[in-house]
Amino acid sequence: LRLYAFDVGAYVRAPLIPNLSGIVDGNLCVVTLAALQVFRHRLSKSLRYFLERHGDIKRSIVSSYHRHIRRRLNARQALRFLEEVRYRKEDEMLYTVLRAMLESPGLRETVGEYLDILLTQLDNTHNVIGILDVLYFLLKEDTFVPSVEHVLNHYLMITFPRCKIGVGADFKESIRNATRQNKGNNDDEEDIATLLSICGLNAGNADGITVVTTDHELEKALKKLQKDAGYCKTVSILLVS
Amino acid sequence: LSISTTPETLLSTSLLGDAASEAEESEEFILEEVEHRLQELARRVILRLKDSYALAPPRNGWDAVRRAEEMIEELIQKEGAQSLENLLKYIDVERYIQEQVSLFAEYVDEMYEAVYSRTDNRGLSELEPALMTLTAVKLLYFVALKDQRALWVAQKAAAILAALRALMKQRRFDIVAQLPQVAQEVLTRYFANINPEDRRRAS
Repeated sequence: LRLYAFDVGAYVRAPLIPNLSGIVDGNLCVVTLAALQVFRHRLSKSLRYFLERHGDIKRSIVSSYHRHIRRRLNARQALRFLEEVRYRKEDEMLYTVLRAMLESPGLRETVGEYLDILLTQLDNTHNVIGILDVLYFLLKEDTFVPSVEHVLNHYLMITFPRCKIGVGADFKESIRNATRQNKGNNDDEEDIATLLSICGLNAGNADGITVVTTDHELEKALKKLQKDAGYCKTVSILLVS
Repeated sequence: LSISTTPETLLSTSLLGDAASEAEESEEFILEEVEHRLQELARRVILRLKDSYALAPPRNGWDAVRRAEEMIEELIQKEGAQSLENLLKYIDVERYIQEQVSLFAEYVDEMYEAVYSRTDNRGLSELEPALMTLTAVKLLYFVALKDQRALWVAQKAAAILAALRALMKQRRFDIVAQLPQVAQEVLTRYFANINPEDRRRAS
């Protein structure tokens, strides 16, 4: 029996990772409070970045990817395209969570009225730039981040009934000050907060803890923690995509 | 003789069939009439709005939309709204609007593809606000279609679209540039009413 702990990448992509239920099935799983705090922080930043630079994002896509804009793309294809071309940019997470919600059948009944309008509008739009404009109008609503969290948590609770969400220590302060600018740097405070919260968990009757992540940088951060601080010795990493 | 073979019942089924197909045909006819009258009304709205804007240029996007709203209301009240309402009793209004909205959504997608594949950067800055206004109008219509309480949203959407058409014909890009913001304010007002529900769900 293992305890699988999702980092923020695995959390937002859970509905998109095909073999995730196969991995977690029969084991325990957890999303720590710190992972949720990282999620809220990053999605809010992603949102703010998008709204502030909406025009620039459009222009950079128009000038670099002309032929994609002419093609009729449905919302999922368009979001996937945006995820690729905005890789490692602040707004990337926005497209990921929207795709996760669009691609999980059965999720639609749990979204509120606002997200239903948003997702249906995305479904009704067949152009990359059109999608960005739809988002521009609808993402100004301040319920977006909590609504997405509500939907993702609901998905996890239905898919993994033995999953605990929001446990462990509070890292809000250190996460609030974290930036993603030095992402190449192993000292990324968000990663450290996530790892520390997971390492501090009581594994209970599980044999050990495995961090489920989509980010190979997290493995480097964990190794550093183990080597430098002698901490997190029993924790291992599982990279999923 | 069983009931299914009496000439009377056979005759009546054939009469029933006729009546049914007549009803279908008449609905189609009424639909055409409705469409024709609405198009005529829309044409007049734009025409008069252009005149009105030419006579006294709108101060800004909000003023342009407010005047479009008044113009639409006035024309509908004056020009045979009663007879139009009578006609609407005979068609499936909801389905009709749904079809129109989905046609409009397709039109917006096509506009995006046309504009972004053929326009240079300078032209884009003039056309982008118009495209965004179309997206906003599509959003507002969709919201109104889903939510019976939001008739006012559809009325605002119609006024914004009318203002956009008239202003584009007059090449008043400076005022068109404010229309997305006018539409955004309508959306915000709408969401302010529905959000308490979502807030409860999210917490």
